[in-house]
Amino acid sequence: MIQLKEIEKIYPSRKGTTSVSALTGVDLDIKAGEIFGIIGRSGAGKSTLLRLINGLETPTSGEVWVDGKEMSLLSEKELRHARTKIGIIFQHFNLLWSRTVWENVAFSLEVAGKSKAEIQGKVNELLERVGLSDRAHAYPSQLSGGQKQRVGIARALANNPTVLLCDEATSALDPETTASILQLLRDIHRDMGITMVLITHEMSVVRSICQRVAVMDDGYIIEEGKVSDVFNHPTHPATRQFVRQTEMEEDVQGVGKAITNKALGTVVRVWFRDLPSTWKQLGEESEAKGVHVHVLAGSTKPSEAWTFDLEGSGEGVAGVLDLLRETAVKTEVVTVV
Amino acid sequence: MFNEVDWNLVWQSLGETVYMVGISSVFTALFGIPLGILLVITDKGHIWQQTGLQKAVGAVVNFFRAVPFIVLVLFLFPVAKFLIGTSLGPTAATIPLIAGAAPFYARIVETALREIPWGVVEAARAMGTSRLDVVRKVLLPEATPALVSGLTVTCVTLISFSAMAGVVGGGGLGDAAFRYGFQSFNDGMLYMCGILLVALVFLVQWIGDAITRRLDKR
Repeated sequence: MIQLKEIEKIYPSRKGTTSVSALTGVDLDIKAGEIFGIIGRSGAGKSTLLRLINGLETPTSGEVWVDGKEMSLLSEKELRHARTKIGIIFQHFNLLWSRTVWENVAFSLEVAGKSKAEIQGKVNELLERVGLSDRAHAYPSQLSGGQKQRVGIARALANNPTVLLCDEATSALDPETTASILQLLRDIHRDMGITMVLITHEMSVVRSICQRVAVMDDGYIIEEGKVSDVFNHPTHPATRQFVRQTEMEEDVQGVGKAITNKALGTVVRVWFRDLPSTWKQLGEESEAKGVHVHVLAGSTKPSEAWTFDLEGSGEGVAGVLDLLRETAVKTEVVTVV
Repeated sequence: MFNEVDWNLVWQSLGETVYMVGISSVFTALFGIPLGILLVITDKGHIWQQTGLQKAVGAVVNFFRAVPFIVLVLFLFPVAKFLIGTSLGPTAATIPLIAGAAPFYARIVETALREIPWGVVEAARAMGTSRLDVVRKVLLPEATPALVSGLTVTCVTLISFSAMAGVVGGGGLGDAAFRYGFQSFNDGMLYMCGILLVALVFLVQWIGDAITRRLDKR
């Protein structure tokens, strides 16, 4: 579906600086219908790589093939048409704030020259798909981050693209919202069989959704393969460091990988204000809501957090979370099943 | 003090001022918006990079902004005479008013358009939007509140410019204040004209603010 062949991207020098090599010898073959992740630290070149695919950037040398077409050989008009078949969603959503949700989704159909009747039907269908029908006439400023990204997704899918590019699409969202957006992307992939390319700096995102992954460092693809192979047996030092660092970050958050992997429900970290009284309320509330509370880690020092695994119905867990949010100093949802 | 005011003259002058400012505001927007758009989209890395054109438009705008308005009025006497047939009266005064305000407004338009996050423009391009549609459907609608508040500022400037243009024969409240007030030792006339100019500015600002608030969905 997408082939990058011997890509070099060099930003020419400006006054006082030397030229910058953003991508070096990049070869990539992304197959139709797969979810492909590209992971790397900021400045590794993953953004540039993504922007080559929809022609927002052109390579200094090498070829970019998407759906059987070489992007750099397309005329202005052909490129515009090709782009309507490559949806993209962004970290900061990039919605038009002067347009309502409905009009934002209609935008991509308008610029593709669709008729009014066609736009009407398609927009309603898309809003239904992303679960925002009731917010159709709201403006982006009235939406939460997760809702904004849903609008972005609906807009990106409007012209029935064959490829969906995700540019750090969940990096501005909290863990709960990230999980729900990733679920939506998974559903869309299942229903449409669309090819997805995700770039991210979060290993957890790649783990939860991608089938194959490429690791980038300093403009090179240093490792590529099945997600489980790459992360469980990293061969390149930079990948190893990436994996170790991510694990350490998870540990710093007080929840090791081993714990979250075995969790049965929603893992939360709680800093109690008044341990005995909240403890009692927690017991009553969880029993009433039919939620099992498993203690994963705890401390008697007031400044340290407790980690719980809340197992139960979505509604029940939400009820317990509400109680914790009301009474505790801070409540942080780590993972959602 | 106000018993010596010639009300007929005051109302006529107020009408002339409103006429001058109204006409020149419309033309200022008509010239300023396209100039502002050009200044932005022809810039390096933007959707229609034309470095030569960008520099040329920038230079013209800067030139008209640099010349003091009163000098611009004198410079443009021949132009007004050629276009309108006379260099006197409110219609002739609109020529220097537009020449003075359009470049000023063009810079405001430029700033307003540059404040739209680049990601939004890029998102539109990535969806296959043509350049014309980027201008029509992204840049202008997204900047509308800023364009309106900028036009309000420009309109207020035009009111004060119009009073100056009045002094060199353009008519309007400035002319009346100077000739029938100051030069005729009629303080009532002088102050009445001043009060009306201030009231006009307040009114324009109030209307402009109200429209901007309604348009702003951020």
